[in-house]
Amino acid sequence: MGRYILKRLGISLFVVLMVSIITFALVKILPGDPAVLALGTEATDEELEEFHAKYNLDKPVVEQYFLWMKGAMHGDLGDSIKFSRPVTVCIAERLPRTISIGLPALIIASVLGIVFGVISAVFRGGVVDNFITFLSTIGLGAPQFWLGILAVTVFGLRLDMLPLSGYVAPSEDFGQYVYHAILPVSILAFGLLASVARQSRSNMLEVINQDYIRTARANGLSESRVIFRHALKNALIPVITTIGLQVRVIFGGSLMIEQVFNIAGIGSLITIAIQGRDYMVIEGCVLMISVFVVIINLIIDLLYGFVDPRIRKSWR
Amino acid sequence: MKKIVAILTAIGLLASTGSMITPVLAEEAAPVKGGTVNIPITGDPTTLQGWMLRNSNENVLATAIYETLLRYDENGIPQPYLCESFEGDPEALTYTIKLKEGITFQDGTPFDADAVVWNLDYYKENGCLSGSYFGEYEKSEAIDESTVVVHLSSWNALFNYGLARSCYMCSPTAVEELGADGFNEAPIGTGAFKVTKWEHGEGIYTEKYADYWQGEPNLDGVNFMIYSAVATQQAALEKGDLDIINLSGDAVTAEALEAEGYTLTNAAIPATAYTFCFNTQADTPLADVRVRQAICYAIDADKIVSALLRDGKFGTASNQWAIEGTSMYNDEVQGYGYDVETAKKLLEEANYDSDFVLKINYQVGDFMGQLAQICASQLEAIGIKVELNAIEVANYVNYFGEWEGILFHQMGLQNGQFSQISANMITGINFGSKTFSHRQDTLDLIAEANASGEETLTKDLKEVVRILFDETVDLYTVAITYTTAVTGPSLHSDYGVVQANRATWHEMWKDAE
Repeated sequence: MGRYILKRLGISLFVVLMVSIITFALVKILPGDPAVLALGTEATDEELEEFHAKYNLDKPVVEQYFLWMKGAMHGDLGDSIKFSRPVTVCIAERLPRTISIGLPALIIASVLGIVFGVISAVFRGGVVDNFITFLSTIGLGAPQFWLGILAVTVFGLRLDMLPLSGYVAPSEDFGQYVYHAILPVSILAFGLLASVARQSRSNMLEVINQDYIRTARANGLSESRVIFRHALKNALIPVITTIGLQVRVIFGGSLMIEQVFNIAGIGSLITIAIQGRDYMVIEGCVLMISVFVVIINLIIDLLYGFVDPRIRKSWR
Repeated sequence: MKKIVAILTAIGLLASTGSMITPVLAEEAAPVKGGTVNIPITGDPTTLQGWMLRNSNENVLATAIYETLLRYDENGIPQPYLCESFEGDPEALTYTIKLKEGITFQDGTPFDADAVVWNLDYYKENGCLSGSYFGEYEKSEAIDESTVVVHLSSWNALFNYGLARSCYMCSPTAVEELGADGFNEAPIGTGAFKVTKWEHGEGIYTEKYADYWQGEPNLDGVNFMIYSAVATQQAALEKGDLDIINLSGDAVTAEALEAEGYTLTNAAIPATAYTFCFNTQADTPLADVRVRQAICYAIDADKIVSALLRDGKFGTASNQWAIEGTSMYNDEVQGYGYDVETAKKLLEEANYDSDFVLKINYQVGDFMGQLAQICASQLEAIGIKVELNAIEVANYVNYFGEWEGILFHQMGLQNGQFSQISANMITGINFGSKTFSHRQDTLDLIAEANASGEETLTKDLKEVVRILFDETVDLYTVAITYTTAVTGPSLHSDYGVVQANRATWHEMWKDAE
């Protein structure tokens, strides 16, 4: 197992490295000089040159990358071009906000998605199945920003039940955190839930038609025992993959959610950075997200082994 | 009584400058002490350092925290503010500044001649617009506690515009004690409100400066909260989370809020001139002035203003970068009224009456997009096929030096027509360096204006305006928009009456909840 983990770690490092190179190259291709954006069109040539030198923008792109990577390996992601503050500080300020919205959304979506998927499969073709399928289709098809604006208008403005926007840290006031997080978490969870529910439903349908399930029923096991003990466990493996893939949505989805609900998280930071050609922040955020996703995927891979003994056996 | 006089004056100013919306300010009730006002910004400011403030978000909060030696009047002319007088001597190459007494920074240190000398020297070295306005600045000296003499290497008649625009007075003691980075998080100016916390990504919180030189502010604080989208700002205003929002070129939102009982106030100083900047230098049909004239004749600016800006309610048509009736407006500019037949005739004379594809480049934005679409359809009526090129904000700066066809530019008018003409229509800068005609007589007039007194400056720059808009047709203004402040009935203030985002902050008050 140790060897397997080492191998996966090696692949993960390679993936992170490639992501950082590709991101750096893509960002450099983008037109727009951050110096002009920061200093304005009235800046003199000397001021622009000084700005370029300060952020190593006057050096060849390859050298810029190695200088950045060297710093990153020592925990220094450079300074934000736009805000003149360390990128690590910018990320550290905003990451908890993104996590405290994204993580509850992921957990809620995973739990409810599996439950709804199982219910939908067990009662296939019935009213409940149709209702869940209908909701899932909306969740998958409707854009998050649209759902967000709709929710703000209905629950925030018209019904005046929930705040329109804003964020309170759970450590500051947990009640207010929940109050402010209900809408963004629900909207973010909705899309994820739909995806997990659809995946769970189709896997369950496949599994409950297998011979061994028929055999279990023939042996007189109760339906709940058949479903939860034998069918669900096997149906869960692809669902875990789906959930693992959805981890990126904590960050990706936050781009829209944070805009709509005015939450200063990683998503809004990336948006600002792209608009301002803040290369350091873009690189820093992408590196952080790719490391996070790679670690989660590694954990998911290991989880397979615990869920499926056949996979565990293959590690040996 | 004093308040009523101020209100009547403000209304008079607005009426004289042609803005169609007058503020509903007449209130005789005594101001209520306490409360907090929330104003939106669309994102984190890049900085809170007084010498670096320049972008739109920073402008929203700047005047509540900081103040300038001079500030613009309703005509966009700099007038003494933190000083009693500001007098130039072109012969001696000096400006003499006599400061008001009794002003202190928010850290209690005096705002005196030494502080001003320190600020001017610091701005020369570090200020964001130092290159544009402090090029001739040599040094300044404190003659006594309240008198400063500024020495220039050569005369600069627009130095006062630089001081009014972004040279905010900062506490030298605070900058030296905290360092530039520390000061960024805890800025100290002479304004009515002092920053207590900058919650990055969320907003900037302030509290009143009780010893403010014009009197203790009525409000406890003013917060500048981040609301990135106008739709969210509107919703927050309606819910009471915000007290003010600013709109420009957004008649739909403004009218919807007006219908709900909100007060609309147009700033006397207009916001933006949406301008065709022609590439006169490339080997294209636009090199022929008759083609440029034809394009101007083909645009029905009045119709555009009528449709998008509600007949002048949120903006106006103009043949230059100023509004009729204001001091910088040149009555001698003829402009090009809507005349399709003349436009067609001019194109025919220039032999470009068919197969002419014109590229119009513009920065993405709802209002700008609408304008560009309408202009394209109007130009197609005279046989010009238009290719619209919507450019992302960050990429737009790449078009500044050279563009193909027309750059449909949003020229900010907060600093007035003279300042923009003399700063942008010259050689040696990036904007239009390879596209504008830069005729020698205009360059000479601008140079003479910069090196002269007020009278010659006005005469010369008005003549430059006439040449650029009428003769060389480097520029054509399609529409000018106002900044409209939308406030709820519980807020009492002159916010946004003279200039966008500016208020007599210490007098602002809110009804008790």
